[in-house]
Amino acid sequence: MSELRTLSRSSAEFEAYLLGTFSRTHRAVPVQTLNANSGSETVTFRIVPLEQISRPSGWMIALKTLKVRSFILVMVPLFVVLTKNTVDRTLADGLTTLIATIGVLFAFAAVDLRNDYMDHIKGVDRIFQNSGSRAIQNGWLTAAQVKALSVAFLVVALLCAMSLIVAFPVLAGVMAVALVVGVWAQFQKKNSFKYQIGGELALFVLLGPLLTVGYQLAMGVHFDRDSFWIGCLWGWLVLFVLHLRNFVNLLPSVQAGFSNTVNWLGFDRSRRMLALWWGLFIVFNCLYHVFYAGLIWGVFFTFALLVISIRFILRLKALSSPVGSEVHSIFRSGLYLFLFAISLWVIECLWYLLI
Amino acid sequence: MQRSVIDHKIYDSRDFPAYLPKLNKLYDDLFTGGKGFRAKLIRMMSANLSLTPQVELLLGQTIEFIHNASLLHDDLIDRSHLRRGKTAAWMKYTPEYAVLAGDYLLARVMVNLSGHGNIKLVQYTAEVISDLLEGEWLQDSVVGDFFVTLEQLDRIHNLKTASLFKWCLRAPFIAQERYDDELHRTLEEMGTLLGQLFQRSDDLLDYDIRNEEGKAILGDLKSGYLNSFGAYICQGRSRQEIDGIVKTKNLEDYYASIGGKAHFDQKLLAFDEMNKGLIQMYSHHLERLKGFLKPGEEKLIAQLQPLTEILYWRRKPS
Repeated sequence: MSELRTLSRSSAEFEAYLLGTFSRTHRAVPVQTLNANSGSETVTFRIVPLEQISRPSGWMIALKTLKVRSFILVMVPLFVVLTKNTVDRTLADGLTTLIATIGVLFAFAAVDLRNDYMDHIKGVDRIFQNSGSRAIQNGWLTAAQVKALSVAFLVVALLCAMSLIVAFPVLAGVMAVALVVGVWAQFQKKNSFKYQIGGELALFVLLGPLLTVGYQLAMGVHFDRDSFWIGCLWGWLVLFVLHLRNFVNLLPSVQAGFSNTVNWLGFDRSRRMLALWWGLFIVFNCLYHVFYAGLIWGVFFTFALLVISIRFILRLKALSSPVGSEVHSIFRSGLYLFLFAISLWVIECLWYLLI
Repeated sequence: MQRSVIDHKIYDSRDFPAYLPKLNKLYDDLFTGGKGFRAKLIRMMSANLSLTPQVELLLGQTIEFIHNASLLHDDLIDRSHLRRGKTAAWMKYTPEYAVLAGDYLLARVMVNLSGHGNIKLVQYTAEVISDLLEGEWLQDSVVGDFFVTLEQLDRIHNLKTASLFKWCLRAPFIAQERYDDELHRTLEEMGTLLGQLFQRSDDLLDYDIRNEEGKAILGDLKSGYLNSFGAYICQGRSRQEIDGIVKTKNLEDYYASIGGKAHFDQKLLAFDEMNKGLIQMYSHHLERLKGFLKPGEEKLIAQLQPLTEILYWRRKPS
């Protein structure tokens, strides 16, 4: 039989319940959070015996906890940079490329897990019912276990990074910048980095130019502007999805006092910002292709993206509520645009690789 | 004539200027016929916390004025023709008068409360009014949206409906200058749960469930509003199915559109089961409330306990 327990942040037991370290035989599943993100936060937990927690298979838990689908955020830029250097015949060292790929994947998994841990502690994933992997909120893992897993993955990523620095000392600079930005973003006291305007910039830099430039250097290739602009373009696209997600969560995140660009702009101006953000992506993508990948691809991309964007823009324009079903529909529609753009990039890469 | 606190006559025409045309007639119509549940809740709280009759009246008036102001505005927004079985104010007295009468009630709330002098009570009441209006605004923004989810509706109901229940529980303590944070967080949780249960039960009336008061069947759906039970039923269904469901005009067609009466009953059982979870949480918070009460106030717990029975299961108070 499960029981309820309500604790406020000032309570000595609060942290142990939130981390899940209060018991070896029970899980504290958060069922209601009041005044999240404040000193007066109160959480009601349902205390459930471990054997009563409903769990999918171990594989499913691993896939969901690691949010495998989100790996697309690093796989795509790595693939594009790898393609570029393969086609240009500049790829110098296959082994370091492999180590760098593994390192990036482990680093991303570590950041993802750490992010889930932080969002649970700060209340974000307890308020937004569709946010994060839900592994902690469903009681599959404790927050402490997720944190430990994140540290283990980070250690592997650092080992990869160190061996790469030995091979290519120039990488130390890129990794130092990434480390500073990452540490600053992850250890922000107030909010998870995704929910701050400065944090959005950190995400742009980490998943964008730092990733692509660093990966290229790890292949033993010199820095070039091409990889830098690929990173910027990708970072811009990633932020589009982030803004979309923040837009769907506008009401609860404003109520919880989270700050990000969407919350700062408000419902009406955010709609315009999203349309503008996507429009600028089409323009930047076109310019990138004109300068680095050929006019024909640029024209094709721009035409295809413009055609498929019309419905999204019109729906965004007609959107009248931040809480209705249409806002979720807009999110899905924006996500399709994101996936469509990725598909075009992959087709382009395959064309370069195979033709 | 002495105003009777015992009868809780929260409206008295002498409280409003006699020179304003139609105002008192409009309020006479508005304030007669309501159940006054919120004012009764205030009375229960006040009696157990030993508030003076003046403060009890002030609080009772405040909550009923806010509630009735919201009804005046609501009826106009929804274009409802009837309120408590009578012609709605906006139809009888013009929309302009209905809006002004609602605004005027809210203004009187501030006048009365500021006269009392407890600035925290004034501030909290202003916050509740603001929440209520946000809820109204958001609710209006989802009219005609038949794909809205229960979670989204809960957010709206938390602003629109639960805010007043929270006020009923917290305001008497604030009026007594008891500001303990933990106490108010507990009351806030309880108010949220009561509001949610009340709203969900009210939404069930639309489907003729425990509909003792004879509320119009499928009224919400016909007005373009998918309520919480409707959203629960539509969960996981395709757009095409939902399109068919929301077009039904009577309960028989409704049952048929969702797969029969037996399926409807099954969903109702599951919905009730889900809400029993909320009732369990309410009891849990009620248990916590005990720790904040002074000697002599413990009877309040026993009186607050059956509220979920009254509000959700619509059982008559014993």
